Amino acid sequence: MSFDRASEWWPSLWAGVQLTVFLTFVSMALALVIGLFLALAQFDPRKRYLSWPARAIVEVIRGTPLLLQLFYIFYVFPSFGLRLDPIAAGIAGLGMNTGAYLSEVYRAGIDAVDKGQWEAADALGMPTGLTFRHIVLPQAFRIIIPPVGNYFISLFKDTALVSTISVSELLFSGELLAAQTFRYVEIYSIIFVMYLAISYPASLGVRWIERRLRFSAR
Amino acid sequence: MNDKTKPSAMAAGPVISMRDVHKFFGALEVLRGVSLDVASGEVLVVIGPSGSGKTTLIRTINALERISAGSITVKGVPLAVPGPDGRTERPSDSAIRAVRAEVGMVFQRFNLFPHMTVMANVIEAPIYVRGLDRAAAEERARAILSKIGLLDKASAYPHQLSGGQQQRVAIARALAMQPEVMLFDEVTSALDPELVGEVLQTMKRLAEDGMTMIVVTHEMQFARQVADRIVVMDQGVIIEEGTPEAIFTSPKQPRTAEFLRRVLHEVV
Repeated sequence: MSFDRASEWWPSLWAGVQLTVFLTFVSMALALVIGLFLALAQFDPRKRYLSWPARAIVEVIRGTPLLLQLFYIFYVFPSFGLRLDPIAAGIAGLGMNTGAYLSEVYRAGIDAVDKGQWEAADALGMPTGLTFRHIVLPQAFRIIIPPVGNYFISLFKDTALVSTISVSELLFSGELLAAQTFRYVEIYSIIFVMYLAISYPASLGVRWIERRLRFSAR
Repeated sequence: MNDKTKPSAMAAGPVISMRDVHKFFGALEVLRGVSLDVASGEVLVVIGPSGSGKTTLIRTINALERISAGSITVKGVPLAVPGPDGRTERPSDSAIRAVRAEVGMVFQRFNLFPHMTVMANVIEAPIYVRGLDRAAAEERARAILSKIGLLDKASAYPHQLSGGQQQRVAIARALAMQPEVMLFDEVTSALDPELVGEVLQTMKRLAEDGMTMIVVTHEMQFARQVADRIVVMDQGVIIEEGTPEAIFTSPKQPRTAEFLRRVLHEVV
């Protein structure tokens, strides 16, 4: 094993890291929004025109592998006329997938807010939307921050899957380098450490936030 | 339903008028034909054994519970009235909100917004429901908080306050909407005994200021001192009503006497 040529590999690995981090943040932002819409759409079961499609989307996404979803978006959607470049397809797939899981987290968080909060807002004459925005969601967000943090870290690792649709994120960059140089041991070891060097501090951060929230709870 | 009915035009009549109100929870009939008028400035105390329908009764007045039959009007605004086919119609959301803005409610478990300061709790609805600007809402809030002795807690969060203080903030929050009527649903039942007094004191002062109040309570001393009229409920109906003297010294109904004997002995 020899890392003497690591400095030659570094530029493309570093570019891979940057793309991985970019994919993580953009997909997460998309997932947070999609998740909120999927959760709110299911909030009132009497509004079936909202709740049924939302439920169906969540079940389809949770019931199939992420890798298959990425293939489907990248290879099958073009035959329906929707052609996305690899990065866009990757973000769409990762964002939808994580969003579906996050919608369940949101739902649990909204349910966990004391029913008395709704009654108090109702008794003050506050309309439903206002109660959601000012009373329920801020409290639900506190409840869901730890699980959302964990999904964020999962998403960071799942971005490796988009290497299969030729997005040159960290793993894909490594595969290319390894194929060119035949230094599989060294390169995959470096990548291994790089993922860990990001995800481990991130999970410490989530745990720290979790602890802080617990202490400042009611 | 006539939306143009101006509440002020009805000021001479009762503030709240309930006629033959029935409420079912599934097959269980919790209210079995309750009729009640509450006049402006009146302090009405509702007593009765648990499960008698007291809490459900006051929760129907701001539509936290929808009634199954009968009618309720608040300040002349029909909250629930029989439709053309005689069945009680579901009130419109706007009618419900109009009534709720005029009817303040205080709950057994306070239900303050835990992520907001005391000040933010009190100004939330005046700003976003009444459309008051922030400065005016804060001024109003400070006046109310100083009256109940909690102005120094304006920037505290609910969890930093005692139960009694939290409940007084909840009263302030309801008052900030300048309601015509205040509903109190067993507001001292969740409090430690030594904190009950400060809340009752706040309510007593409110009554002296002429607020129209409907109070569901187990505090018989308070009922006796503050009520203009006492309503006794049992098994979903009003079995007796009258002045505190009449109810406490010479109840007409054996069930009233039995209930009072039990609660007054518990207090000792």
